[in-house]
This record gives sequence, C-alpha cells and structure tokens, in this order.
Amino acid sequence: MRPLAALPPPKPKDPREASPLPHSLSSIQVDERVSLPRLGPPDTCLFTLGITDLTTSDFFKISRLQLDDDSTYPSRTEYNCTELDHLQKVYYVEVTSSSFKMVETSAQLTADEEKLYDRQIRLWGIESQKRLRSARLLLIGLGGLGAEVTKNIVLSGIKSVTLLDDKLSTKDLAFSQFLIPPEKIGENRAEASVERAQNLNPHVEVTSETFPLADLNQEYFSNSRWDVVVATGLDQDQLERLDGFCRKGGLKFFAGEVFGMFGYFFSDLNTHSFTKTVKTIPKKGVVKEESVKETSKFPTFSSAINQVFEKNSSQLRLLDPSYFVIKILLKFRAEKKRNPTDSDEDWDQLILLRDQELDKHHHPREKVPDEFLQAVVGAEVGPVCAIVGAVLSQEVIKAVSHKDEPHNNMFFFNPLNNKGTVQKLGKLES
Amino acid sequence: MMRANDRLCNNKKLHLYVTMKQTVEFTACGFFKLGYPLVTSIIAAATTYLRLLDANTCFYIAKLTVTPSFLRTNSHRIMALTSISEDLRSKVKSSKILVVGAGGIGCELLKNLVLTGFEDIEVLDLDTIDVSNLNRQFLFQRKHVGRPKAEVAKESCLKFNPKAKITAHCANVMSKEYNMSYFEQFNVVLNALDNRVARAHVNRMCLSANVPLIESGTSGYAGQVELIYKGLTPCYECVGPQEQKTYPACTIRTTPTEHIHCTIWAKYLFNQLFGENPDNSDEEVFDVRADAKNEAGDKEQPKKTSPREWAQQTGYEAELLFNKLFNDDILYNLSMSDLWKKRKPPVPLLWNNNFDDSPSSDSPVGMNDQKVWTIAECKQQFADALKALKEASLELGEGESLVWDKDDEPAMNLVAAAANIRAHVYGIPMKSKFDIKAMAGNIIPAIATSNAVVAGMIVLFALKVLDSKMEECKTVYLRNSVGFRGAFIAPEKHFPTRNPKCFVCSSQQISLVTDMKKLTLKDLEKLVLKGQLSMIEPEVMMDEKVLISSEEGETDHLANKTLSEVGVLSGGQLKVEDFVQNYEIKMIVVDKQLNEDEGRFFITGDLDTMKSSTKEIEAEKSTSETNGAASAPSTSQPESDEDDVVMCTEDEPSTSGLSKRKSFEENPIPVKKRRTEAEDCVIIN
Repeated sequence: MRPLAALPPPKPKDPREASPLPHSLSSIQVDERVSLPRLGPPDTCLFTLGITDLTTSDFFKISRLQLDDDSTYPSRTEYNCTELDHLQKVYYVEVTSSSFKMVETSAQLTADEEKLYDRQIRLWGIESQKRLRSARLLLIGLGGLGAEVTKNIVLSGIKSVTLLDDKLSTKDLAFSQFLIPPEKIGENRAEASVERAQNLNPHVEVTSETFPLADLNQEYFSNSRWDVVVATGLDQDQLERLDGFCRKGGLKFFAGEVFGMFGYFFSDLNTHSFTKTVKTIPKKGVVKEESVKETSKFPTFSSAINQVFEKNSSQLRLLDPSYFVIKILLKFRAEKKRNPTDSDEDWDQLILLRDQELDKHHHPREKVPDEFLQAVVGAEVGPVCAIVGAVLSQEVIKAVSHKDEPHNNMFFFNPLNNKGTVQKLGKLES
Repeated sequence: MMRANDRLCNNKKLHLYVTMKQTVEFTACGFFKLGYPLVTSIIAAATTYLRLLDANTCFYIAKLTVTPSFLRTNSHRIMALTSISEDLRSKVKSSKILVVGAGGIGCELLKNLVLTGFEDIEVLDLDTIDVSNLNRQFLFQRKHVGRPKAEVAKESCLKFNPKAKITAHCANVMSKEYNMSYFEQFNVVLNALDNRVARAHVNRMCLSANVPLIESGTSGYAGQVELIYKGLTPCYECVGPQEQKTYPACTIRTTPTEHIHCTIWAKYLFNQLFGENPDNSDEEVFDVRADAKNEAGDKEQPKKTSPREWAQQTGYEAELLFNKLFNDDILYNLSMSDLWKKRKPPVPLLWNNNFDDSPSSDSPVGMNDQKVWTIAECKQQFADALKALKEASLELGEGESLVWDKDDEPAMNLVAAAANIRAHVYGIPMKSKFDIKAMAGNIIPAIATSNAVVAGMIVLFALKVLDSKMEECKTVYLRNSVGFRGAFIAPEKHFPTRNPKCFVCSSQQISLVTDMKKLTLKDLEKLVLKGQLSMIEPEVMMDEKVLISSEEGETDHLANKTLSEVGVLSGGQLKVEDFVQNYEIKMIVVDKQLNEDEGRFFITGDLDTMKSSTKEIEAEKSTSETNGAASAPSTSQPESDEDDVVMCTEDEPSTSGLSKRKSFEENPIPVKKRRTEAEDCVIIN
C-alpha cells in the first residue's frame, strides 16, 4: 500500500501563490472543542491558529473586511489580503461545527463570468455563485453517472474538479460516458475524461488522479483539499469507510449509482446550515418572500443502508421499493465484484437475494417485482444517468452554496413509473 | 421390423443397437445422396468458423466501440443495454427522430439520443450560439459563439457516435418546407422549444401528420415532459389560446406606475428610433406632430414627419431627444389635468438640470450590472447608446432596420437608461441594468441540471412510445422542491381528459369578441390569427369572398378596412384556414364595445360559453388590480425569447389531473384558473 504522505503537495502554478498565507492557513484543522472557545475576534483567531506574523508579512497585509452579520450564511468573516503588488485577494473564514477553514474567494466576478453565468445567477444569486467558485469537488468513479455529474458541476463554475478512478475504460461505457472519446477505450477512465471535461468550462480547474481507493486514508479526505466528495461505483464497505472519512474531514459526501434503468444517490452533509426562501401568502395583498436560516442533520451511510424497520411500520409501507433494490445490488456486487448482466446465473442470484432481503424485513416479495429486477441488469442507460446525475449535481450546488433545503438523504429513480422520490433513512447519531 | 414386433422391443440390447446405429441419409435437397465424409467435413468447417467468430467477438466490438453495439461476450463481461429489450433496441436503431430546438434541452437531448443508440436524427434550430448559452448548452464552446446551434450540436454529437446519421437544419420549424409530409417521415417528434407560437405550430403539424409528439419545458428548477398523441392525450392547445401578460396602452404611454411600464415604453422607443416600424399605433410612444403643435407661435400646419425621420434629421442628438421625451412630452401629459387628480404627477426633467448624484440605492453590490445607475449615469449611457446605435443604423442598407436584442450592449443600455430616466420622472424607483434586462428580454433563469432531467425523461418517453407503451407516458413534472411523500420527479396518475371544445383538436370553432368598427383585417391577420392563434399563413373566407389571402398582394386593398366595412355581421361566421398547418376553424365574430383594459379583442371557446368567460375576465380584472398587474388581453405581445420555458407546472400532480378534468367540463378556458392556482407561478410562454 502506498502511504498517502508520499503524495506531493499541490504545486502552485504561479510563484506568487506560493506565499505562505494560502497554504499555511488552508492546511489548518482545528478541533471544535479545543479551538472555538478561543476563537474570538478574527485577529485573535488567526493568533489562536498560530499565524502571528501575517500583518507584518512581507507578502500580505490583512485587514478585516466585514463580518457577515446578515445571518443568512454560516458565520463567516472576510479578510482582504493585499499583496504588495496590489493584487487583491479576499479570503473568508468559515466556522462549521467541526472545522475551521480559510477559503480564497474573490470580491467580484469578472465581466466574462457575469455573462457566462448570467442565467443561473438570476436563479440562485450572486452570493451562491461566489461560494460555488471557491468550492473543490473530488469525484470518484468515471462511469456514466460520474460523467454526468462532472459535466453539470464543471458547467456550473465550481473552483476545481478532481476526477479519481483507477479502472480502465471499457466499451460498455459508450452507452453513457460521453467524456471518454472512443479512441481512449482501454485507458484510465479519469485520465481519459479530463480533456472533454475541461473543454466544458475553461474557468474550472479539472485534474485527474489514479490511486486505488484502498490506498487513501483520512489525510486525503481533509477540507484543505476538498469541500465535496461524490463517489460512484463503489462497494458498500468502501462507501461506509469513505463516509466516515468525509464526516471526520468536514466534507460533504454524496454516493450514487446507476444500474441499467435504475438509479439512486445518498447524501451526508453532516450538520448543514442553509437559507431558504419562504413564501407567505396573506389573504389580501402581495405574496411576501422571506429568507430564513435553517439547519439539517444527516444520518451516516451505514445507518441509512442498514436501517431496521419495524414490522408493518408506516415507514416500511411508504418506502419506495428502490431502497431494497439498492441493498440487493450492493450485496450482489460484494459477492460477484461486478454488476449483474442478463445471464440466467445472475438472474437466479438476483431473485435469491431479493427473496432473502425482503423476507428479512417481513416485507412481501412482490414489492420488488421481477419487472424491476429486469430493469437493473446491464450497462448504465444514458438518459437515466442524466436524470440521476442532474439531481445529484443540483444537490452538490446546494450544499456548497448553502442555499435551499437539501434532499435528506436518499433519492431513488424508479424505472417502473418514472418517479423520483426523496426519502429519509437511517438514524441520527446521538 | 421392431415396430412390427413388440417382443423384439423388450430386448434391451437389440433396442439400444437399433437406436444407436440408425443411419441417416443426407441428400442435397433430394437430388443426390451425400456421403458421410462430406457431411462431417461440412460440419467441421462450420464449427471452426463459429469458434473463430466467437474468439474474435471482442475484436469486432473493439472496432465498433463508438457505436452502442449490442453484441455481448461473457469472457470480458462487457455489458449491453440489457435493461432495454432486444426488440426495442432494434426499433431504436431503425427509428427516425426529429428534435426541434438545439438549446438547453436540445443539447442534452441529442446527447442522450445518440448514447441510447438512436442513429437517424434530424435537428432543427434557427438560432446562433451566445456566451450566455454556454453555462448549460454543453455541446457548445466559446470558440463556437456566433455559429448556428444546429450545426455545432451535430458536430459535437458525432464525436459521441460517428456512425450516427444526424441532419442539421439551421431553419425555422415554421417555414413552409417543413410541411405535413416532412413530419410524417418521423416515428416520434421531440420538442425542445422556447416559445409558445412554435410549440403550437409543431402541435398542429404532429396532429395532422398523426405522429406522437413529446413536449417539454423548464423554468429555473422546475420542468415538465408530456406526450401529445391524437386520440390519447390532450393536445398542446387544449388549454385554450394562451394569453400573454400585457398592459393597457395608456398606462405605457401616459400613466406608468411600475418600472415594467417604463421598460416596455423604452423598448417601443427603441423601435420607433431604430427598429422596425410598429404594426399598431399602441406601440407608438412619441410623435413629432403633438410636439410641434405645442410650440407657441407656429401657425403653420406642421409637416407630417415620422419620429424616425425627425430623429435622423436632428442627428439623434441626445440633448434634443432627452428634452423632448422627458420634458416636453411630460409637460404635455401634465396638461391633461384630469389624469393627475388621483395620481402622483410626473416631474419633467431637462438635460441641463442639476442632478443629485448620490446613488439611488445603497444596497450591497454583487455584480457590475447589479449597480443602479444614477440619473447622471443614465444620461451618459443614454447619449453613448444613441451615438453607437446611430452609427450602427448608418451601416444598414436601404429598408433595413435594427432589431432589439438584449445581448446587444448599446440597444440594452439605451432601454435601461431611458426606462430609468422615465421611472425617475414618474417617481418610480429605478432598477439595475441586470433587472431591466430580465424584464425587457423576458429572461427565464435556466440551469443545466433541470434541462438534463427533462431531456433524460424525454428519451425514456420516446423509448416507451417506440415500444408501443404510450399509456405509460403520463406527464412528468420536475418540481421546485420535494413534495408530498417525497415526490420530486412526479408523474401524473392519469392522462388529463381532452378538452371537447379545444379549437385545435376537437370542435375547431372559436368566437372572436371585438369592436367590429375598429378591428381591421390587417389587425385580424397580425394580432388575432398570427399572434394569438399561432397561424403561419392564414386565409380568411366569408361565404365565398376571400378577406385575407396567403397569396401576396391579393387582398392588400382590404387590409385597412374594418370588419364592419367588409360586411361581417355580428354573429357571422368566417372560415379560417392555414394550409401550412393543415388546419381549419370556424370563427364566429361577436360585436362588443370593449373598454381599454380588455384590449382590442378576446377569444373564447364558443358562443354558449361566451357569457361565462366574459364574467370571468371581469372577475380577473378586479383581482388583477389588487395585485397591481393587468392581464387583460391587449395587443402588445412580449415574446419570450429564452429557451427552456415551462408550459405550466402543477404543484400537486396527483390531484391536478382531476382538477383539470373538472375545469374542462365547467370552463372552456381553464388556463386562467390554473394560472392563479399555481403556486410556482411558472406559466410563461
């Protein structure tokens, strides 16, 4: 196993960026219990973090810009860091329940960006767009769903997307993975996808990595590297382990998958604060819109996938059968190390797993009809990747912009009735 | 011998011998006998060939990687699209598909079609690529800006599957060459359009060509996909002729109370100065004669000069125009003192007035365009824009004029500046260019993800249509937020019933309520038939007399005559036909004096229900006043030019099927009802 420490630190492109501030600050992780009581005013908190010489630094002059007191976003302070050559950079410090980080942002979007993102800024606002452009995504698994998420997120104008995959591309990807050109079949899936992904938006930094997931440890999943992780094509135990890393590292975690015509995704935003617009319609007069701040808590992946239902409970009755199909498919993959095909052998195995799984929950077998299982075999279907990938991407955008209520915590696309449902599974950690 | 003798059959040894040593005679179709050695070598050769084929299957697939190939080998576990039946996959491969529109939904749709294995696709779009498309229309890149969408979309999609046959048409779907026989060649037509007129047109074409149509739209986070098929579902126009939000002409010209009134005024101003001459007098926001009359001491009858000529003669001089629009014309309006008894009177503004230069808004500014200009800045922008537009118009040829475009900087700046100065004069808070652009350009926010969901769903619908499972294509809504029982992508439970009085797919009869002494045949053609009823080349006959002809020039002499003048009687019938759309309706004309808020005409299902709908319009009038938004039909037609427009979004799909059915029975025009009920307010077209 290759130790993570051997990974080189990210190399800055511009020598000016090599100055101590971004790296010394962004690599700092502070435990809430230890640091928060001592955080206090911004200058003090920098001091608390051990950064004492910034104001006298040769490179930067830091002045406090504004405290976010509109209370619409997580507590945040902006710093104006003026380099000696008058290149202005603005950083903000974001304090969440588990982490403290400093993120580079820019006071203004360029005129070019304003034009490019005009139609979406009109929907989610300039503040969301700025938050989006300071966020970094790690995308694991470059199958059809991974390609769709990459496309949507790169188009949206995030800061960076890193594609991680150690597998080679195969021909069945031609049904859904439009980022890999036909001549690159046989190459690493992440590396083969970079060029087309980058072409979608030159403002976004698109890179690839090819480490096997098993080699990665907690250090890799730290918020000095990423803000969001989206994982596709992994096994259940890998997902549980990854979710743990992301929780500890203060990262937003998503996991999704498309099997044939069926798809789902799961989100774990841990404790997530967001603003949403509430409309009040008085009997007379004009509709009022008000922005309110709320917080959502999310269960872990392990808790959601291992949910125990009470017999005949209303939750079980109203549950979309897709939930059991996910469990069946994850079990199938754990046994066979691959997805089901339309062979008789795989079919028998799916039926067996279905019967076991539903019997275990005292749930009638016909809740997952044969017809449903017939729709999950074979390669990922492009249009279904598009649907699941788009809903997942919008959740990523919501998560990093802290705007609008996130889907908590599983989304199913049921191929039998074209229905997309959001349901909450699992229990919150006490 | 054994058959003849049962006892012999009991001898197992003998039985076994006979069974095993059976001799089979091979003949070549009975002509001559083939010896055993020959037969065995034939079998051996065939087996070897099959074995070779099997071993090379991977090789063949490798050569065909670009095509969704349905070959499957177990050895490499290459998976095919087996969740789709083999029969359906071959239908997909051989079917012919038309995609109308290569914008937000169109790009996603084309990608999905190609990946799913569709190989014969035609795509139509008349638009060219703009920078503001690139955040979602992912088949286009910066280097493609300015090129036709259909062409670039085709190029990009061929990279996903070079074997696909994609035909790109950079053309308007409403042009004559795309006639019924053109539409008949497709197995299914997919709409990815941005405006109601084109949608209505494709709807009629598909109804008459009897081709299933999949209609779609998005607006912000919301979206919808619906199947339209003759005899099974309602058609696009079953909800009645769709109205657009319009404003009474006097509000625009004389008594604006909201910024939108000033914005519309400013767009009319642009057209009068630089654009095409307006079709109707309501869009004339200033004229030179009224001004000349006001000049004291000028006894001579003023010459009839058009505003354009006047502006050209004065060299589009900013100061002169400014003083005319914001001082002289305002003073004239003020002279109608009755108007200002209950209203706040405007304050005229001269070019040389001293302007208070403090910013009118101190809200934090996010983007350059979100800043609200001061009056002094407006003045500067007004002058700069006039200068730039003057130069642009000088470069035009004879008879050409500028076309207002929200993405054209000077044109947009002129409208923003003029609208704000007028707003200031009338004491209405000014707005940023960003906001004015949204109003003037009718911009509907658009994002990649909503388009992707909708485009994915369209292909799933198309698969079901090809699989003859149309009954499974119940309208699907993508909701703004999660609803009842977690519904987010929510299909209807039933098909809504068809409107038995639909003027397109059922009764083909309609009533036009108007003042027959005022509405001319030209108005009838432009505003009613082409405008509201979405016709392309209407012909109107009264008994045997042709009132409006699609032949150029044939009925020009009648164009400026009113309905009464050409002899139409109240309650009289007109036959209206459109040969392009293969569409024909009976139109009953009802004479009625309409007040200004009602506009110049309105259209209703038929005579029996006319009374109730008149009431309804009156009821709506009273509610719209409290909301401060007039919605009576009038003559101005702000056209959404943005793509991805939702036709309507229901908040609770599971019950809306029922409510719609009810409304069809009770009310010939359920649109309004649905509009006022809809919480999401995304019914725009």
